[in-house]
Amino acid sequence: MNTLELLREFVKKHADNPPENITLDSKLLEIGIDSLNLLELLFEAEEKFGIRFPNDLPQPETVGQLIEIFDKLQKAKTQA
Amino acid sequence: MNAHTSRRVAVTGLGMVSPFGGDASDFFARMMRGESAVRWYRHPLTRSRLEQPAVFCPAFDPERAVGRQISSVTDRFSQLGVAAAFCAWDDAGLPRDLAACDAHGVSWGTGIGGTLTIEKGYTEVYELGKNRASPLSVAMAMNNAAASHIAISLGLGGACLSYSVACASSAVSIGEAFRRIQCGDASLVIAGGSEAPLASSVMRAWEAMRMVAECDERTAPRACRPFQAGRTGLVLAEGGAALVLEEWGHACERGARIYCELAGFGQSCDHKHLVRPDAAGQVRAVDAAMREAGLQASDVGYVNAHGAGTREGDAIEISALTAVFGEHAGELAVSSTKSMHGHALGAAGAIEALITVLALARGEIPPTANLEQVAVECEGVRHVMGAGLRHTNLRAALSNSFAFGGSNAVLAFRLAT
Repeated sequence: MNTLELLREFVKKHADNPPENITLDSKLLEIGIDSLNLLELLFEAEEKFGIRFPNDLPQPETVGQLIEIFDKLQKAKTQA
Repeated sequence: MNAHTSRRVAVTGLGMVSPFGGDASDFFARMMRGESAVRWYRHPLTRSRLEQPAVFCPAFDPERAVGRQISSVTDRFSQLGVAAAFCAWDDAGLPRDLAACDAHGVSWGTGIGGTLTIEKGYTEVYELGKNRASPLSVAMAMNNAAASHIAISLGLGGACLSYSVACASSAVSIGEAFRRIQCGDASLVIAGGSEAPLASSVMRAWEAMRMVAECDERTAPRACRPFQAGRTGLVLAEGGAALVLEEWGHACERGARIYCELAGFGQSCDHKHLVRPDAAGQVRAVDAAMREAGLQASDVGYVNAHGAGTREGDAIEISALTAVFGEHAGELAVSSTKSMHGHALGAAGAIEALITVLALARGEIPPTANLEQVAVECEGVRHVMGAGLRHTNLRAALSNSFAFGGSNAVLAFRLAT
């Protein structure tokens, strides 16, 4: 499972009206991810991919920004 | 508080999550039939066998009732609370998308809050050896989570309060909402309580206190027998109930249906013992509620008793009622509906207030189910048994809630005049 698939699964589980299409430009708030369930999403990603988000993580606004953070951490992990 | 100088408070909406699966009206009809919701409950997660009589809500679908956005980040006690509040809001004829208002508030009660979430966290850390807990643990377990979700969902910008007074929690939350409207701090408050106590640690704790009614799978529906000779204890229940309370003029202006008036609220503390109730403290609370409502003993036609079904508690409550009502006590209709819906701890006061309001509005008094032979120490009032009482000329009624810690709360309702 890649990060976009994880995010799609998460939204399906948590949002009242999960959108058909989630793109990199989708705003997190508009697809049902607020600051509270973002915490849970990060937790799930940490468990699944063995990565660790820093406490001072910049607040992502779009799916693209979130995935960029995911991918950067995964890449850092592989290189370590 | 002087009843003549303060603002009057109308009850305009009722809502609940019923163990039978229907709405408040269906629930009340079943109470009138003496139908018990008590079942034999096998805790699904414990390794050791844990079975008790209990009341639960198997038909409750949190996702359907409150939406996925809320259900995925909340403990069951909040889900039950938000669902009950939504039902009461709809019942009051208020649109869900009503503009946010700072004169509208929430007053909620819970005894043990998000215990299921806390128990799950402990299981993960201590039993499964995980070194991290869910990041939502705090937000899900905190006692004011239910109240906050209600306020957020309905745009209630006034005070958002949560009371934890053991088994009197939601009677206190309703009474304190009444006070806020009386004194002009709010024009509308959604008040009630919710509880989800069927966690293994909670069930074990009540078992250890030797307070759970004795029965087996077959006899579970008849396990809770308040005021009965040989009664053996209470039955834990989950649930949630809410009342919409409004300043009288506010309710009239918008043409709301008014069930009845919440006219008095009496509170006291026994200041004697942590878990043994005291009649003198209860007398003070009942007296205070009646005095504020301007009710004489002969005016009160029904008391929905605390009546948990315990050996000591039931007898002490009856002695308090006979002390207050004196020569009228023998005529006073009393029943404990906990015989059917169990003891929902912090939600009990709200469930019983809802029943008391419907009893008044319909002139019907539900019975104490499973009561066949009144214990000698519980004699002195008119116990309502069997099929209850219909076509009564009920004008005023009380709902008693007496908690561990010695906290007593009594709500006095009367028909609108």
